Amino acid sequence: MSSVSKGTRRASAPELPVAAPLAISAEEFHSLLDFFYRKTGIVFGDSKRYFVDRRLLDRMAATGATSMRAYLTHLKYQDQAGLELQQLINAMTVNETYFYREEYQFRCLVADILPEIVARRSIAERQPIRLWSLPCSTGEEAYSLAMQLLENWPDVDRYDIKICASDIDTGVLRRAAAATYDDRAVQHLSAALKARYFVHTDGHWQVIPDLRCSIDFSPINISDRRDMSRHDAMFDVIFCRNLLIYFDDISRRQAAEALFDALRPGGFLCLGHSESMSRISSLFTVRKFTDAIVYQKPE
Amino acid sequence: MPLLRSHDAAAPPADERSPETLVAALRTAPSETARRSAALELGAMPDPASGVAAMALGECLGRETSPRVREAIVTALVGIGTEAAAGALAVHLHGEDAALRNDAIEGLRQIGAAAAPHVEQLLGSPDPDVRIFAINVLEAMRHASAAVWLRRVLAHDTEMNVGLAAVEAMAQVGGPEDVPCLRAFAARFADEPFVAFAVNEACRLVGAGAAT
Repeated sequence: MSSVSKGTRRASAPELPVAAPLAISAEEFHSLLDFFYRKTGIVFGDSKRYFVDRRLLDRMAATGATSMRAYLTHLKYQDQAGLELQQLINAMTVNETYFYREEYQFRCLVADILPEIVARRSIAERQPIRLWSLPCSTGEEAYSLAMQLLENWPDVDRYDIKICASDIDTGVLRRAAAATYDDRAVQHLSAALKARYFVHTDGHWQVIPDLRCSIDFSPINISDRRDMSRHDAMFDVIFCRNLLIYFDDISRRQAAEALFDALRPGGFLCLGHSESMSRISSLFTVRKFTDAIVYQKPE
Repeated sequence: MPLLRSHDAAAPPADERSPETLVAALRTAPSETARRSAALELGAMPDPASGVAAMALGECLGRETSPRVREAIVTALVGIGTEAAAGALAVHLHGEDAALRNDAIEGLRQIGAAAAPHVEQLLGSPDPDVRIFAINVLEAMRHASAAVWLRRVLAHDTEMNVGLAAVEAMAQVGGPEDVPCLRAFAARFADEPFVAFAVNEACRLVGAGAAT
């Protein structure tokens, strides 16, 4: 879930007629937002009213709920398997990203971060180097990481490397695995990179099978402690960019703890350019490299 | 291609542990990681276990020496977010450990409204430092009664430094209607030039010009 904002992504549910008979009161709106926040940590302010209403009305229509109250009751008490909650999450999270976004951090990865990580371990060590793109949205970041390593890290052939990519939105995970993109998504890639890693057909760019197979996509809810604890101490580097800005202070704090636990000792966390872990948690050490400021879990 | 696909990445979810097991781990586990994990799990306990969790977390916060575990305990209490959780933090404002006090202040600020009864109580503490900490919390809480409580401090607190903390907080949460109260405080400490300066600045910030 790279962003939650007004965007162009369409919800999967059918569009409502213009003069929809359903309406959502302010009380219902806040009740739903509170429920959504408790499940995901994501906060929507009143300024997002239009955005939220549109998607809620879509979901109500898709589920046949005749009132907001009925829909909330369904979500809270009847949706035992969480299927409708997942649909709502998919509808409420908009994913706008592109290849090599905030490219300076990819430079930092190969110039500074990975050399430090491999300096601490022997080649004989069997544990692969693990990278995590979280949230991965439609996959651009994870594939960019793979391309950056293959193109620019001289040691890439000396180590086993695993790239995992996760998102709360199962819809974007399907799109990430399909790996088909429009011109806008690949606009910052050189012609050589596009030629090497994409097949261009019918106006779309699809990542080549070898690269697609190198990423493991899976769902994750960073606000769910049990979900996150499955990944304790697994990763050497986590890219978690432009997610925490959608959380409130409490959720940010909890997310920081979860990210800390998911890193191996000495592992690195890369946040978005407008995000600062120093304002959230004192768990990490700030590392200033030539190309980027990143956060490190102490050894 | 040297990149491997990772199917073995995530472990299965661990079994849920009882509050009693978690409290025991938080109190006695030798490993910092285990105590952090117990604290964070306690923070995710649903009602009614959250009351027990808050008490245990508060108790362990006082004797925990690892900053990382402390941070996890405060995160857990903030996540519980109840009056009991706020109480478990508030008690540490009386302590000698500055880092722990700062953690508690930050936690109370993030808990917000549920911490209000404790903050009001702390404003009546005989220790002026504790009253200042309470004002620091109040400033960030955006509570409906914040201005009322600050006015009370400005009118009655005998310690100048406590009053100055209230002036600073009032500059953030107050409005033009608070100017008389600010001026009255300045009059109580008329021999202190810095008080006049601080009050003037606060009056400017609440939108009423200088309190001359």
